[in-house]
Amino acid sequence: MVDLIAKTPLAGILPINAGETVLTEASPASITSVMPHQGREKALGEALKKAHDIGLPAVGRSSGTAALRMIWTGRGQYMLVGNKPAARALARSSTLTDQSDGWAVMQLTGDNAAQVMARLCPLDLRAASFKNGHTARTELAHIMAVVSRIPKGFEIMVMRSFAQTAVTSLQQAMDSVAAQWTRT
Amino acid sequence: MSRLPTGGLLDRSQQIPFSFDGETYLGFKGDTLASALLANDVRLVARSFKYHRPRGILTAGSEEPNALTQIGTGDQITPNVRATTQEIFRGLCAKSQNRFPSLGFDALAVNDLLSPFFSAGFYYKTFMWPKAFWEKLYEPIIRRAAGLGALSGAPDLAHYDKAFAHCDLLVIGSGPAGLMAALTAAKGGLDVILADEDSRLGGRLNSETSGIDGKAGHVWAAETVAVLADMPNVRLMSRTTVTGAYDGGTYGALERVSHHVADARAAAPLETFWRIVAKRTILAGGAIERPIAFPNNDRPGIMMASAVRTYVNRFAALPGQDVSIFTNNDDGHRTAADLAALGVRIAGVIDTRADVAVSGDYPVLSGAEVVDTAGRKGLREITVRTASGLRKIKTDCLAVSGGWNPSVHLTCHLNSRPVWREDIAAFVPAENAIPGMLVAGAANGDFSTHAALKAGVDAAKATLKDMGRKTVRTTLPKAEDTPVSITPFWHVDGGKGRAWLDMQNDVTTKDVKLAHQENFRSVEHMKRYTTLGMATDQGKTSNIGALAIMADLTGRSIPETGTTTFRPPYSPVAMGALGAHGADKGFAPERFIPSDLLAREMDGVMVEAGLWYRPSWFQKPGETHWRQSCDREVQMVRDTVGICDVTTLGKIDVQGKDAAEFLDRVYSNMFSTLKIGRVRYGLMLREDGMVMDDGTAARLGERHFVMTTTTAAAGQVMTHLDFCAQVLWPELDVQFISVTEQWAQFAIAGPKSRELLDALCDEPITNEAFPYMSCGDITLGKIKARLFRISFSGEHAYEIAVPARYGDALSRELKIRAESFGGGYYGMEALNVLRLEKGFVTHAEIHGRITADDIGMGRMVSDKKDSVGKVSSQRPGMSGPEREQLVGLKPVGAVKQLLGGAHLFNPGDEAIRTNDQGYITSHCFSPHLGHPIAQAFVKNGRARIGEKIRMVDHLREVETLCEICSPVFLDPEGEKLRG
Amino acid sequence: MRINCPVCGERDSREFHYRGAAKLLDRPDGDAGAEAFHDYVYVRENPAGINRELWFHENGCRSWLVAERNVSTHEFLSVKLAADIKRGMK
Repeated sequence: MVDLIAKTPLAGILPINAGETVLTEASPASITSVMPHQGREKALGEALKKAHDIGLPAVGRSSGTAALRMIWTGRGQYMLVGNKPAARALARSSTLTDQSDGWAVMQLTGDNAAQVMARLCPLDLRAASFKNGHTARTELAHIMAVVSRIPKGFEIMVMRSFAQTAVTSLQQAMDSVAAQWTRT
Repeated sequence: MSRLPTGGLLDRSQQIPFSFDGETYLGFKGDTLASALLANDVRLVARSFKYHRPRGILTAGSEEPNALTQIGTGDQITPNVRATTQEIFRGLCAKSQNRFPSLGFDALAVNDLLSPFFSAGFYYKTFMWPKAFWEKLYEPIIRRAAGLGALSGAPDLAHYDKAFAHCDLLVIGSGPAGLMAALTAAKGGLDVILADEDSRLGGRLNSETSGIDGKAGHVWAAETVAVLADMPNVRLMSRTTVTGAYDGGTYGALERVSHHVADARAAAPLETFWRIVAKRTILAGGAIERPIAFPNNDRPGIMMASAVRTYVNRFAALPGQDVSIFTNNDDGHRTAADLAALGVRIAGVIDTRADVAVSGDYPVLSGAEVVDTAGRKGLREITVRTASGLRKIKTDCLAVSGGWNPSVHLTCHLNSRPVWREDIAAFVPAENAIPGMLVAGAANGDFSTHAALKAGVDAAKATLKDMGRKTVRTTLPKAEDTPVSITPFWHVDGGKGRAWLDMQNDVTTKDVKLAHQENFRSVEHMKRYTTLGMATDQGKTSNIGALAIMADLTGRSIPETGTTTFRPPYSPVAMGALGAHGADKGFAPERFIPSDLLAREMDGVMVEAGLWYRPSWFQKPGETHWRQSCDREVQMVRDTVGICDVTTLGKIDVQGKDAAEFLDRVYSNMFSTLKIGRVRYGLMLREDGMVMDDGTAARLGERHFVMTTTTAAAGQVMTHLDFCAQVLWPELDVQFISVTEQWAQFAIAGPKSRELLDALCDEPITNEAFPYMSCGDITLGKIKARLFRISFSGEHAYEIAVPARYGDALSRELKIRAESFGGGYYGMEALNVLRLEKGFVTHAEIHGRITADDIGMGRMVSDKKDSVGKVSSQRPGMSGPEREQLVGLKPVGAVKQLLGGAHLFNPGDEAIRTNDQGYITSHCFSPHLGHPIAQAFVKNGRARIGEKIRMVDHLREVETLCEICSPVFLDPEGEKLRG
Repeated sequence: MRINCPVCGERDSREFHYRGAAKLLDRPDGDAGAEAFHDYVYVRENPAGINRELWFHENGCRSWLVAERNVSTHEFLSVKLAADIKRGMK
């Protein structure tokens, strides 16, 4: 009987920090992709509410709590991220796939998080434009990413194989910002 | 020393030592290299580009054409830095350029004597003969003599950054117009970025003596900046040049982060290149004073009148003791007034206008022109012509003012041409030159301080209104409102010496006249023929003067003559900044496979496959050549068992009511007929009928498939699927998503593969449970996994997929188990040998110009249904004996070498293009057969099995006689696969 | 250049991939014959003015878009979802 040990994408690589900015790995227990069947968004919304007590988020938004969130991640696509996988009941109105291993999830926090992101991401991440609950599918250092605002900073999801290269770029940006914004 | 005892915007608490051409000087914080040199009586700072004439500092800004210096030492040398923009710091090391052996004695000044031979366009007429001399003699000499500045030749280890910024309003320039615009807009609630190329905000207010609201201009500026700095919706970016205007309100800007800092902490970048996205913009970039061209107008000590005021007022540095002024407008007189007020001797004001309204306690000559100057390494004297004849005036600094040119450059970046205004004798921006941009202040021809302040407020209010915001009440500060008084005068006629226009490229009025004479009369032709305006300053102090002369010569007006196009960047940007983070590994993201750590522990030699790193072979102790490793790994797979990480192949999960129908349309063959639990090889065509990709698709359920793609084509295929689902057939109910990363996948291939898996998995792995080309769910311990029985090696083989978190662990488990059979890991080289021996194709064969029939898979394009590319694949000429078809090749002569890309010819035919029979796409050494083998495309290849053919590699000069054979070299019945 | 994606809002053009003419929406039926497909695959108008173009928001929401763009001035006149336009055809 074989007994395989699990590893998160950034085990041994995170956390890192520079100045006041910190980058940590978040390891949600489960990530499920949820793609509604043709014309079945409403049914999906109802099923989601019933099974997980979360409303289907609008484009560019996430809904739910820190424990379990539904994030809009693209055209006809959502990810349920948190402490449980999507309930089977959702499969009546949507296609589900397990994505728990496919993503590296990171959190960038600190007063200068926005300055760090400015070096890596072309998006308008100003507080007035990108608020709590907002999310975007964009690129981070030329890597496809899902970026969400969280209290004190940003959550960044990149595909697993890109994790190390994303961290390298983030570290460079964090160091650059820390050097320019150090209080003397 | 020419430092004034008081005054200037300097921090005199500390003396700052710096060096220039090996001599150490002292300056203050706030000095530029130019101001500090002038304060130390250094006036000769450069030698000109072509003629190596002694040159001094002409201006006080980024438009400086002469004072180009080399800053830094070792690998940090930066050439062509304008002394007027370089802030000094302790230990700054600066050198003059373009002179040998020294600034004082430059041997190449002989060029000046030979100047009649070096007029405009001389290189079109010389160095023509003898032809052979060009490459060997002329070009190397010219290359060594030409060029401005030199690079260190060492790799640039400085670190640059790139960043994005967003705002409601970008204000470019922080003079009176810019400051009022930013203040008004910020009070109105807009998110404002205020950028200025200077280290200190305030624009001309830091250099002029006229005040605002009863205070000195620089005091008012500093107070306003402090207010702005405190506002949370304002971002001040000093030392930041907005370099270009682009579509969609996007601007490029270069921030000089560390050029003024002695020991920049290593992590801070030298420069940051910004992309700023602004909903609206106000350009308040000011104006640049233009000179008048007159004989020998390029001597050290001849400067712009406004620059003299800047050095005196802002830097407390006196450029001369006996100052004269040459002007065609009232503004030039301000220099005389400012200097006289400080007790400086004014040798005279030479005004071209016959009626001069301004006067002072110094001689003013009206209707006069400067016709010559003397003092090669520093001005001594000028010759002036008046109605009553010639006279000489002793002077060591001549301040020239020919009027002001609004800085229209950014407004021309989207192809707009500026508009001529007769009343100020200058070009101003055209209306709406850049969508969303308003222009205010001197940049728009509003030259008085009052006009600039008001224009800034008006522009901000218009912006607020345009954006639907409430207006803001403002009080306009009080300032001078002197009208412009100018009579255009561009160049002095007659006189013996050359009159310079473009100081940096050494272009004179004579060159413009020559261009006209040779019929290069449009401004575009004049520019390229004379090179005027093509140096690093983009002709900021010479363009208008030149086109005014051309206008005269061609009998047209200035607006009729027009301007050339201004293009980004406004001032030079280092390639390092534009390419920040792009060198070495930064060039592209890297992707790592689940077994990466183990692969490197096993001395796997990694190779790039797309963005991934995959092991090419594993070097065991004692192996010194890659072939040893590769041959061993191939034998290992055929004899026992081999493991290969195949995670990188794209895996796309396809589900939904119409999933099967969708696959039928994107694959050329049928997939709706595939049974659940089975796997099928498929071809995907482009709409032009060529093969795009090959792969397998597995059916996991009635409405559930997982398709695979080639590693490098994964993204392309995904894009294609999205295209088909959205653009072609949006009515289909199908959903798909990449699961490449979700699953770590390993190939287990060889006679012992089943035995290995049987021991590894919870359930028994039998031929009944998993026949060839089948798939299903299995478990390993508590873990849900997937098993596919497919083979790319031709051996009995499987691929096992586990959730990627277990990838590293499984990779190690497989290593142990494989080695217990005498097997182990194999890399990409061995993978290639295995598939070549079995006649399988890769993208070396599917290179974008072949059809299904070319690779012998014509029958895979099903007639039963439409699919992408089907109709085009059946056009005449897409199949048949004229086409190059896939075959195998083996060497049959003494020479055994087969080379990729080598072309094929019939024995006896000359190896020229018209006899070409085809080419080799892939080759390897086959350990099983004991000789090299290859796949090739050969004209009518399938009908020529058994024929001899000649491989000729023209590049590497190898010829090999081959025999055309089947591409399947081993086990043609596929017995090993199905056992 | 910025493109106003109907799903995501205005984004930098670096997130997008340009495919070609929006003519690709009008794919001939499978039995329309080689001529029809030749025209579909190869023949294009090339006006120096407003073009109907296909763009893919590759590094964003992954929507295929039909944009009307003036290639002389770079101005986008409209950007719509290709799937919506396709559904509206026939």
